[in-house]
Amino acid sequence: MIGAVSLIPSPTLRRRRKEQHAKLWTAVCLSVGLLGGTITAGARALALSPGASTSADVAQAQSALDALVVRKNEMYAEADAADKTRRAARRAANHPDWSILLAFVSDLCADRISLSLFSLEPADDGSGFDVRIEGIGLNQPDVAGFVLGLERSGVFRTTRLNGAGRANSEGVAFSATCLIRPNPELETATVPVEEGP
Amino acid sequence: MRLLPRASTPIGLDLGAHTIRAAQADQSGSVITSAALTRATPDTPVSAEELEHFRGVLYRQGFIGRTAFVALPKSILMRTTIELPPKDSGAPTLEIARSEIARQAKTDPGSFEFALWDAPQPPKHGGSSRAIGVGCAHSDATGLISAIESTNLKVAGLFTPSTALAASLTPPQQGSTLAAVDIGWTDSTFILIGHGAIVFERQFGGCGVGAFVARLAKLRGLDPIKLSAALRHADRPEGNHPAVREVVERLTDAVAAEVRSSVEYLNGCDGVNVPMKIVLAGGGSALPGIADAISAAAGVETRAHADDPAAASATGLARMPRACAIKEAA
Repeated sequence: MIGAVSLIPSPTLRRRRKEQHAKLWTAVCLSVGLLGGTITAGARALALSPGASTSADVAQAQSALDALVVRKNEMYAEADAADKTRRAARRAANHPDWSILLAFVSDLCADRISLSLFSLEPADDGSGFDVRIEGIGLNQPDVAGFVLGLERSGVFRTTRLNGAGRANSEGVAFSATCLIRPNPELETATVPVEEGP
Repeated sequence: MRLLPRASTPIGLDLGAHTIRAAQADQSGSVITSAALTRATPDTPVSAEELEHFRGVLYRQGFIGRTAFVALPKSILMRTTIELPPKDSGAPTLEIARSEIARQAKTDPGSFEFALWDAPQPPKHGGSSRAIGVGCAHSDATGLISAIESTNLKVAGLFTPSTALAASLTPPQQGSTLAAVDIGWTDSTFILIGHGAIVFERQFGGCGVGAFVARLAKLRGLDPIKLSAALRHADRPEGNHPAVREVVERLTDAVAAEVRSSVEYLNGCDGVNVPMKIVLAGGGSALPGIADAISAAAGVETRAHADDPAAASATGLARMPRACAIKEAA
């Protein structure tokens, strides 16, 4: 075997080597990209298949999310209720002195009616107050007169006698509800209720 | 029936001044196909059109693959003999050789590739060491490669014609030497192959078939193309023409004299590098009586190449992956 020297110019050889390296690296990069893509696609397909462990994780996360949504709705409801109480309390704070009403009711009863309950509660819609009055009168006309007096006072929007028992030795038990609502004609004249943020 | 294509081996491409030849061998080194194209305009640089035409010939002849080993045309080959410091001196002989070749070629030292062969040392050569440098300028080589690669071939090796011829021969035994004479169109080349390397190369300027045909045609007032065509049949009755005989006699005498001179020079050197046998190759090796004339003149057994002598270089290039240890230039 004899030695043979190739006389291809060195710049040509360098250029060819560069091109070969570029081709090689391009092929390697493409192969790695294809391999990575294939692995990723395979992994995703495996993860999304029923029975894969990741599906259980997704279901668990979904139930946790549902529980959080329920809890959020409960908290919204609590916040609404608290807001109503706050508004009523604010309105109550702005209401005229209730002692005048109590004094009026006391005068109206005189000594013929005995009250066992006088409660003032915010209305369900927050627009006023419901006054519940329970007590015992000496007889039916006394009870009717008492309720009529409440109605004529002009303080309440409506006055309703819920019921009156039979007269007995102790007297006649009765229950009445009076609604205090804002007067639309006077609404503009009154100081507006301060709303919360 | 062949189900799979044959294993591709390089296409050996010999870009001669008169004929372009190609050969392809199988893995065992046997030539499986060859092709030749006589050039329309001899003695001119090979053009891209010729190569494109020849590419079609290769396709039709059943050549496979794109890789080609190419023998440099002699017209762009630099050949010089240089004196170098002895190898054991530790001097950077390759750098010195490059500078010396550049100086002789009057070119930039970085503008060419070259190979260096240790030549037989002549008597009284002093302490220096004689070497033969062959090279090719980058610009010439790049132009040739571009022209060849424009035909969808890929040049994998660019070798001197002597290397291609040496590759086509059976290497001599250890301690033996073998000479080859390439009788080409423009000139002839004598090479001596030692064990594993070319040790001597000498170009016989003007000793080419084309050169003698042109000279005699001009002298006798003949058409050189017709004379050249008649020369192909010199060994047949239809080639028995006085002008043909004259060309053969003159060329034979000239080559034989140059070979004798070369052998005498080698005998006078260290006495180690004397050829045991001479092999003739190239288009002129088929001329009648030339082997006998050289044998008689040089005193060395001479015979034509065992394969197709005209296609010896192309065959050698095709066998090169099997027959040679290929390396890049220094």
